[in-house]
Order: sequence, then C-alpha cells, then structure tokens
Amino acid sequence: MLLGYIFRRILYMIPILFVVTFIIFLLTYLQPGDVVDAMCGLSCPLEMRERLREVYGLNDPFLLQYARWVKGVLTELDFGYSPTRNMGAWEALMGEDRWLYTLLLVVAALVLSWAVAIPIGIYSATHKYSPADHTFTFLGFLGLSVPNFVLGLIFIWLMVGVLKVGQVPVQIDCMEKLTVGEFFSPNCRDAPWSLGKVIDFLWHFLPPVIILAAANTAAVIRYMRGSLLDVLKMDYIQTARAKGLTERIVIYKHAVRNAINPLISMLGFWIPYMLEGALVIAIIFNLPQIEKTFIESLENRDYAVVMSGLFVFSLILMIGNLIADILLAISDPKIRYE
Amino acid sequence: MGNTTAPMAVEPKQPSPTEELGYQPLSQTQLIWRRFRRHKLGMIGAILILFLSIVFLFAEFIAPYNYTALHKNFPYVPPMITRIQFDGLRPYVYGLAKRQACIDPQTAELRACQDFPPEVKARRMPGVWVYKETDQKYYLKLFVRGEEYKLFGVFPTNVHLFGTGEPPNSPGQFFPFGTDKQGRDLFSMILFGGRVTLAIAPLVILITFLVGAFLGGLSGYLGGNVDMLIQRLIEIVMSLPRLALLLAISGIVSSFGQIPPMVRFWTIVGLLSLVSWAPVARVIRGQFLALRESEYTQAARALGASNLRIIFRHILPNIMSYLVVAATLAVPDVIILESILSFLGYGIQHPLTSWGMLLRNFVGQGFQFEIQYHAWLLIPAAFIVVTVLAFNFLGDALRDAVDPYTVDEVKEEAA
Repeated sequence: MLLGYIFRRILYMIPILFVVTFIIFLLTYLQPGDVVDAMCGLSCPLEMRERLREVYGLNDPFLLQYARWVKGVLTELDFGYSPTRNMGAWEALMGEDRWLYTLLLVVAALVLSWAVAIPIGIYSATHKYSPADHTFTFLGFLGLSVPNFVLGLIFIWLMVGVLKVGQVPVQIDCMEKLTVGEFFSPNCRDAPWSLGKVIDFLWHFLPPVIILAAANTAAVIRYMRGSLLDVLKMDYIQTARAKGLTERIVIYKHAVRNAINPLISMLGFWIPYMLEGALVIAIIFNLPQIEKTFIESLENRDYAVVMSGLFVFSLILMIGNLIADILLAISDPKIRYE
Repeated sequence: MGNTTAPMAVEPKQPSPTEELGYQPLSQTQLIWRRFRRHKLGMIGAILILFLSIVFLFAEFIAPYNYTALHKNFPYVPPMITRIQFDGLRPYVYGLAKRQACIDPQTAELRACQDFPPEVKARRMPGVWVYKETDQKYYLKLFVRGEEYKLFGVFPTNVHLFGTGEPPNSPGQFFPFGTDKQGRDLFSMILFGGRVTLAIAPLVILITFLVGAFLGGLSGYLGGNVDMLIQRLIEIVMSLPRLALLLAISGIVSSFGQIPPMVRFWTIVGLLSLVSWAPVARVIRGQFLALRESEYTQAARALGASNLRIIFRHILPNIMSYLVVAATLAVPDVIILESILSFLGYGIQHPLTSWGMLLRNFVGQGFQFEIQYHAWLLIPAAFIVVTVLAFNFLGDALRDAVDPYTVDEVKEEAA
C-alpha cells in the first residue's frame, strides 16, 4: 500500500521534472552569447565560429536542441560542456566531492535543528508563559529575523575581529592555526586522516552547520509550540488525563505524537530555505560545495554548469518534498494512499 | 453619537441600542485595535516601521552627505558618533588627521606607522588608514549648507539636517557611521539603501498578493479544470529553486548589458514577485475552497447573488484580515531575499544602493581582513535585522489582534 503510494508519487514527479527542464533550457536559450563565444573568443574568425556552431548543433531549431539536450541528460547526465573548467558541466558541478559536502551540510543542519527545536518546543508548550518560554519565544523571534548571511558575517567578525583566533597557538597534527572558512585549514587539506584532521574538520564544519540550522531551529520551535498547544486543548487529552494516565504519557504518547504531523508536512516547505541558506553560507565561508561552483559559473557565464545546477537544486527540492510526503504517510494514519 | 442631537431629527427620539445596553458596543475594528494596542512588541514594531519610513522618505535632507559622493581624502574613517564631545550643550568633534596604517605581525594590531617603536618591524598596509584627532574643534550644527541635492528629486537645495558645515576638503567632517573604501558616508548610504529596501518589499508583497489572490481565488472558487491547471502551475513554480532561479535570471538580464537603474529596480521587484506568488495562491485557494461551501455563501447564492458579488461581498471580506496578516508576515522574507540577492551582486546595483549591497564589502578575497579592521561596515546588517524584527513583531501582533479567540488567551495571561 505504502509502496504503491511512493511509486505513484514518483511517477507524478516525472511530468513536472520535464516542465522544469524545459524552463531551465529556455532560460539559457534566451541569454545572449553561447558556448562558442566562450570557447573561441571575440577574435574568432567567422567561418570557424560558424563551423563550431554547426558541430554543437546551435543552428538547429529550438525544440530539436531541447530534445537533444534532454536525451543527453537522461542517458548520460550530459549537461553540456563547461569551457571555463574544460570538462563536462555535471563533472564541473559535482566533482571533487562537492555534492558530498553539500549533502553533509544540509542534512547535518536539518538534523541538528530538529534535535534542538523539538524538545524546546515541547518544553515551551508545557510551560506556557514561564520565564523560559518567554526567553525561547524571544530567541525564536531573533532567530527568524537574523538572516543566515548576517549571522555568518557576525560569526566571522567575532572570530577574526574580536577573539582574534588567528593569534591563538594550536598544535595538533596538521592543525597549526585556527582559521575561519573552508572545511580544512590549508595544512590539513591534503594530509591523511588523523585526530588533528578530524578536529580541524569539526572546527571548520560546525559553525556553518549551526548558522544554517539557526533560522530553521527558530521556526521549528515556534511551530512545535503552537501545534502542541492546539493539541493540548483537544478533548482526547482531557480524556487521557481523566482516565488517570501520567502527565508524561499524556504529553509524549498522545499530544506530541499528534502535534508533530503538521511539522512533518512542513518539512518539504523548509527544504528550499535550507538550500538558500546553504548557498549563502557556501559563499561567505568559501566552502567547496556545488552552490559555490554555481555562483562562480554564473559569474563566468558558464551556462552549462548553471543549467545543471538549477536542475540539481530542483531535483533536491522534489526529492525533499517526496521524502516529506512519505514520512507524513508513515507518521499520520489519517493520510490515505490515493 | 453626535448625530442624536442633530436638529433635523423630527420624529420622537427612540432609545438607541447604546442606551438600552447601558454601554457602547465596540465595532470589530475597535476590538482589533484594542487587542493590538495591548501587544507591546507589536506597537514598538509599528512605531519603528513608521519612524524608519519617514526618515528614509527624507533621506536626502537627513543624510549629512550625498550617498554617492566620494570623499577621496577620508577613506575608511571609523564611526564618529562615539567621538562626539560636548561643550556645555553644544556637540563638537575634533578634526580628522589621516595617517598611513601599519600592522604589527605579532599581535595583528593596526596603528599609525609612526606610533610603532622602531624595534617592532611593522608592515605598511597600502590603502589602509588610521585617523587621529587634531586639536581643532568643529561644532555640529542643524540645517547646515553642504553638498547640493534635489529634495524628492525636484527641489534643488543644499541644506542638510545636521553636519559641521565645513567644505569637503576640510578636516572637520562628521561621518556618523564612518566611511567606506572610497570615502562614502556609510550613514547616508544606509538611509538611501533603506529607502530602496523598504520600497521593494511592499511593492513585491502587493504584486504577490494580487496575483496570488486572483489565481488562488479563481482556482478555489471555480474548481474543475481551471483549478487543475492552476494547481499544476503552482506545483511547477514551487519545484523550482527560488534563490538559484533568481540568481540565474538576474544574471541573464545583466548579460544583456547596462540597463537604467530604475529598470533594474523594477526588474528586481518583478523577479521577486515571480518566485513568491505560488505559496500565497495555494493558501488563498484553500480559503476560497472552504468559504465557497459555507452557509452564508450558499444563502447568498440561493438569493441569486452573482459570482462576483459573492466573491467581493462575502468571501473576500472574510479572508481580508487573514490576507493583511499574511502580507505583513511575508515582508521580512522579501527583505531578506532582496538583501541576499544584492549581497551576492545580482540585485540592486550602482547607482542605487540597498542594505544587502552595502555588505558586498565582505564578499570575495580578503574579506576577512575587511571584517577584522573595518567592522563598522557591518552596520547595515543591524538595520536589516531591526527592520525584519519590527515587521515580525507587527505581523505577530496583527495576527493575535484579528483572531477573535485571542481574548481568552489575554484573560488567561492576566489571571
């Protein structure tokens, strides 16, 4: 039953994905200049240029070009050629473990924010209007109001400008200086894995994760608190209390279990925000992620990479929504599989 | 109530409902206002937004300098607002003396080169300066003559709200929040950036909610094939990555060459609206769907009301308060998105400015050096945070105020 639902849900994604690829292709088709300009430059002789255009099929009608592009994408993930990086666009975007770092950062931030926010949300709702609740509510407001990139800049200012971490002497294996930005300090990047390299990685990796998680944590706290407060007003909670269940079981087995469903259904809604945050964080902390390649390619007008980037981001969005729907179907028995 | 004593009342005076009840019943608006007023943070938010809007409206006059004016003699002046001294009640600042900056490689301390003892091998930092104070006092005055500008783009004048009134090459300058690399006054730039940021957000929200209400309403009210079509459209738009798409389209627009600043402004407004309307349309559809089947709508339909009448007289007034709240709460999102876009260099561009764009000093190579020694250039970020916070407070207070069930909450809290 559930498997059938997942299967139908995936089938349903296919036409949307096609429209999305069409929009992406149309965008790059509309932009002035093409790969030939980038490859052979302005001083290129006209007949050479014409021949290259013929080779790459740039003189064909729009729909034919689109069909060829989609075929390339579907059969061998061929998004075209990146002249600035001199390799395939897909490889240029995802290569050197960049996809892994993106995935790691987003998943770690998502897990962290839920792990922190759900208990706080439950505490806030069960201790309504207590000083702690007021504090969390205010912090939640602040978390929602400070954009990721501002948080990142403030963090770097604190580290570099106020605490002056560069001056602190450290000596653990390859780790020699406390630097901010990227995933490793220069010495550790190519060193073999060791305790020092792990510490170095955590030192560089945790700040972006925490900063990325901050806004999401604030949002989850607010929704969890609100949702749990709504559930606690329900009659069945009163019934549960009336039949003598302990408060602990009432809260965790009856109330929280029901209050968490709306949050899961909003998971798909938050994934775009996570991706946006990750993009900005990648720029500020100079992280070797697909987002950074995406921006660099945009600046170099390397549109094959930009296209594959848009495609990957859309795919992540859709898969995120799919996962959220599946989780909701598992968690909420009221969801019907039709 | 003033009407009851009007001389034109000929017929015998009937007891008004007020007298019967013994008290004045409050209208819905009065109730909302009363609940809103009780929300302290919401009031603070509203007053702050009003204050900032007025300040930004008169930005040219309040700013001590034109925000594009380069003061080549005064690059990287630190904020002077903390250096104001008082002579009785008259505020003054000391003159600025620019010195070449050197850096101590051991302590990373930045000071004027001649201040380092000769045994310290300090490194000269070309293009970086520190400022000392001269003995000359420069009094701060109101309504001083300074750089020429056009108020509201029409009236040419050179009167600024405050300043030292000194010529541009005099050491007696007053840069409240300091200056940037080219000696532009940060305070003035923040005022103008605020004007752009605070203009974009309501425009985007207006367009977003008009489009969202139209398509969502159509979808929810008509149902059937129209609903199907609009729903698929919304799904497609929502499966596109918002920020990446904005960046890509903005990049493509820029690659067509230079465009006039106002065209750029409206392009950004359009693009932000383009990626924001879909979730709004989805929620409004849900509301229409629910209200279409409500008893009072059915009653109106039974009485022969036309579709348009039902939509505008019965459904829209009922979701209006929801729309206002949702629109207020959507403003922060737009402000942040615009800031990110400008911060990355794909939003507002010179000669206009915005808060996100002012933070562009911290993008690219060497930004950690900037952040370490020129931290005051982060001040625009504080304005983003405060404005967003104000809108969040206002939205939250409005939500509580329009919700008739919050009365209980307030009582509960008081008890």
